[in-house]
Amino acid sequence: MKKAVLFCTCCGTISATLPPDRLRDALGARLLSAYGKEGPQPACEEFYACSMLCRREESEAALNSVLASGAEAVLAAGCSLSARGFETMKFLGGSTLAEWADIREACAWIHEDAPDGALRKAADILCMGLAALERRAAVAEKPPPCDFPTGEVLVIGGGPAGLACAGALGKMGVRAVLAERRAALGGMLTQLGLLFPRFISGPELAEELIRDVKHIGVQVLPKTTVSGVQPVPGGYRAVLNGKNGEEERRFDAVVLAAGALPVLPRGLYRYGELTGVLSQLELETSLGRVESGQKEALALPRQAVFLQCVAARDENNPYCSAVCCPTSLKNAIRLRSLRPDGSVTVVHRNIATPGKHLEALYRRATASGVLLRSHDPAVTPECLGTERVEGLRFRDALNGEDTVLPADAVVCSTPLKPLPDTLKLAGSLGLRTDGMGFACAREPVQPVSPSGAGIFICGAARWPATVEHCLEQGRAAAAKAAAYMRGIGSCSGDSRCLPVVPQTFWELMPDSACRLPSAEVNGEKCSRCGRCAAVCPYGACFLPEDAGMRVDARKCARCGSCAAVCPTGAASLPGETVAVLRARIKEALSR
Amino acid sequence: MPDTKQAVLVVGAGVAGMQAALDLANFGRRVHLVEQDSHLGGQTLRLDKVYPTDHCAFCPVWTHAFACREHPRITVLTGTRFKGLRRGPEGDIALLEKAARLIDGDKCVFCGKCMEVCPRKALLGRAPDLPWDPAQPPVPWLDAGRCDACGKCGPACPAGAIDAARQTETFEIAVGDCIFAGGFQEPRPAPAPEFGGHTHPDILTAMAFETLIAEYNAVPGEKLRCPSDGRPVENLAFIQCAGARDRRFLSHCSAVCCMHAAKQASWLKRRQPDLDIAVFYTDLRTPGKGQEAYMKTAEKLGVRFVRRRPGLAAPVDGPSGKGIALRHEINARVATTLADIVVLNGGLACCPCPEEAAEAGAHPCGFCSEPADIANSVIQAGSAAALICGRQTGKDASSPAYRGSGGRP
Repeated sequence: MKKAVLFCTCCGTISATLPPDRLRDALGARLLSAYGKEGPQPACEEFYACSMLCRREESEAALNSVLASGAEAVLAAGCSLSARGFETMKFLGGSTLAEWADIREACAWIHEDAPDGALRKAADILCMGLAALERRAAVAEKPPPCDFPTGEVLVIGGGPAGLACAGALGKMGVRAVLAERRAALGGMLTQLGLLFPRFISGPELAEELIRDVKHIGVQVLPKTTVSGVQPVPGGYRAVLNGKNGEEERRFDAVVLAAGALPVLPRGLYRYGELTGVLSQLELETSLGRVESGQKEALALPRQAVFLQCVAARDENNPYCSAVCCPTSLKNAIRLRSLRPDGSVTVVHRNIATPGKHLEALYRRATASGVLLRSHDPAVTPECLGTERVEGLRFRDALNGEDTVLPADAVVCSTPLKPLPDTLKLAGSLGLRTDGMGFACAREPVQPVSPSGAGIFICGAARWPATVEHCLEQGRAAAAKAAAYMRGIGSCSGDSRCLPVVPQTFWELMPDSACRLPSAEVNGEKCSRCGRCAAVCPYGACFLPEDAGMRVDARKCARCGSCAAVCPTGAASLPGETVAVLRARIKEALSR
Repeated sequence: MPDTKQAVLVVGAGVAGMQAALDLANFGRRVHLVEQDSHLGGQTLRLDKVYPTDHCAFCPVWTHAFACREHPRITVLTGTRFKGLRRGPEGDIALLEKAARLIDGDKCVFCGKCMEVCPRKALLGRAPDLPWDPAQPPVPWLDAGRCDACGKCGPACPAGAIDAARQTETFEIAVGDCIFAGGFQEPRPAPAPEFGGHTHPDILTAMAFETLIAEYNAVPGEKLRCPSDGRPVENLAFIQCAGARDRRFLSHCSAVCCMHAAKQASWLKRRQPDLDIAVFYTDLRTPGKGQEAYMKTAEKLGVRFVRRRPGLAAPVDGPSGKGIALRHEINARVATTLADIVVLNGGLACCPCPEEAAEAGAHPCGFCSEPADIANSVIQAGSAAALICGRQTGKDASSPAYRGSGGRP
């Protein structure tokens, strides 16, 4: 194959150290000494110097003239890729094989004082580039295998996050299937009378979201549990247990929005033993009844104490559940307005109301007469009384004194905890979970996208979240899923001319025309040992029963793990393959 | 068709703005990403590390910035200010102002000749307060305070990229939608005057302290020194909610500062275990993913978390010692503690969405709409992008090609 070198003098800043004619001679001498006159050398027929290759006109003119001379591949030498190189590669990449060599930052500029050594080094760099070019041309180009997409996204969980996600997907024109384990949609929303910080009704919001989802044509599967989701080539296979019995269905993408449930304060603070020790949801229900006129306000407690961080931020549940403080403040405000004759105290460790809206809720609570006391977690508070609760004893964190607050109700504010089923589902999807059982994505910049392609998480299955955050996360996951669905329709592209960039970059642009092809397995060399499937972090390697290993192009993130463990050298990455790297290194050592 | 006629304007290219732009563009919308700075990345670029992973901020931000610049449907407009949005007869019109730049980034080849000829060394390889050059492709950074417009750089430039006579340009573009992601700023003067922010070199804001202790500035084995006189630091105090959760100044909670203090304190403790670090807080807020565990680690490393808000911070230099004196009132008694460096944390002001833009239908997201850390900003951005994409296409407008298998052979 005929190759040409395009040498950029960079307005003289490169050629001051590396004059073009001397470099051409050095390169020729280097090639001659390494390969002799005969051997299979990475020959270079054309050496073309120009002064500003990064200008489109100049690079196109240079490219045209070397192509006219019959060259099929081009090695461009100039500044570093992070300076103008990447831009220039795009001009050069259109019609031919191209490779970039940095001889400005990496050679001419740092070796100004030793021009002879700089010349030798530049010749080495150019030879390595030519070798890589030769090898790269030998890599056969194949379009990535792409299975027929189903065009459907499975959203697991019909709570606020799942509803927001399915609704947003529908509005973006993506077919969504919403699986909810209960008969009714809405999740926790149906149990929350009023929502902070705007004091709108939970069931009404749920109705609105459900109306949206149904109007937009989302297929809703009530009373359906998802017992497992397996990655299969081209997508995911989910096992759904619904009214038609067990059913297997294929999806292109999966959104996990399975939510979480509040822990019941069983066995704590004499809950269940004393009347008046309540869970937050029990109080929420009676507040709702009073507000709707089903019950007298007098039935509500007169001296209520909210106890925060019950069964949270301890050894069993070592996390702050984010929603309990605002929920308590909200219910404290409601209680104050329904029973102005009573008193409400919130006994807390730290009131966690970050941001603008929640902090405003905090101020509103204190303004409406809610008292806040901080307690010392070293001494466990105690509910006092026989049969009925009469008070709460705790150690005040500010003055260190033991205090007894009279109370006819102690409301235990407990954290949200993921369902055991969620953990199983996350496991079958290959999602990482933290020690508490919440699903993990890539914090902090990709909080709803775990590393697997086509899997997204949102809502309280990710981490306890307020309803507003659940809605936001649901929509954010929908945006990613919609982009992914759009991307898998057009994932092929010519990658030969693009330099190696971090794989996360390609993930950020799922449908970009310059997406690199996936890893591939040479069926003849494959011994079916299965090591690549075991090591692939993205679930992209599959071992069919009757054939060699297969790679799912949609899920492959080009991490190279398969190529690294493959004992027979069957797995490889097109583009910057092991073979290309080896060619570079061999060339560098050949002199 | 997801490709609607008009582009979306995204104002601000911090993590939120970049994420919104990418989500919109990946869905098929054309995007104009407007940033007043010369580079993408926003405030995150000034962070040395991010919690809760303790990874450096550079890689994820760089990847996002790279993807924005390379995306075929995103037009990046750096050095451009958003001046307003108004309703036009056929959609919204955004008014933008491109600042006059000495060096045209499109022409510059970064050969360094202008830096060589500048007699006052006003042209540098990068801005001094950033560890690397975030502009891509790189362009020499102009220290406007030093430049005396002698004009020597112009003729020296082989690419003809320098033009001192360039004027600020104002132009309009038609946009279909607008996302506003203005982020936050540290107000000047500092919001709570009793803490002496910006009055003494040893009283620092959290972002300034981040630069001081950043990994790239640290010499291994070297102790942290006071910016004022270079003496080694023994005591360090963080004052949380300085100016925030305070009706006189900013009534909101800035949401990121508790974890920010824990991050800075714990990594200083790792580097220099003998340092005494106290964090004076009002409420320690760790509701986000992995945050409680992160805070516990900081406690284990020996960072002292003290529930107290000092009333006054003032420099002293007397028989009792030198440093910044913090005055507390504890159960009606006044106590004073001395610290070598005081970090004022909190008090991050949201850059609000201009009113007329909000009225014209701009979607605010990120810190400017609700104080948020990186994760929550990114989520808000994705949500805003989904709302815009959903509203534009609608169920009926979507093409069969987009709606899954129908369009595929």
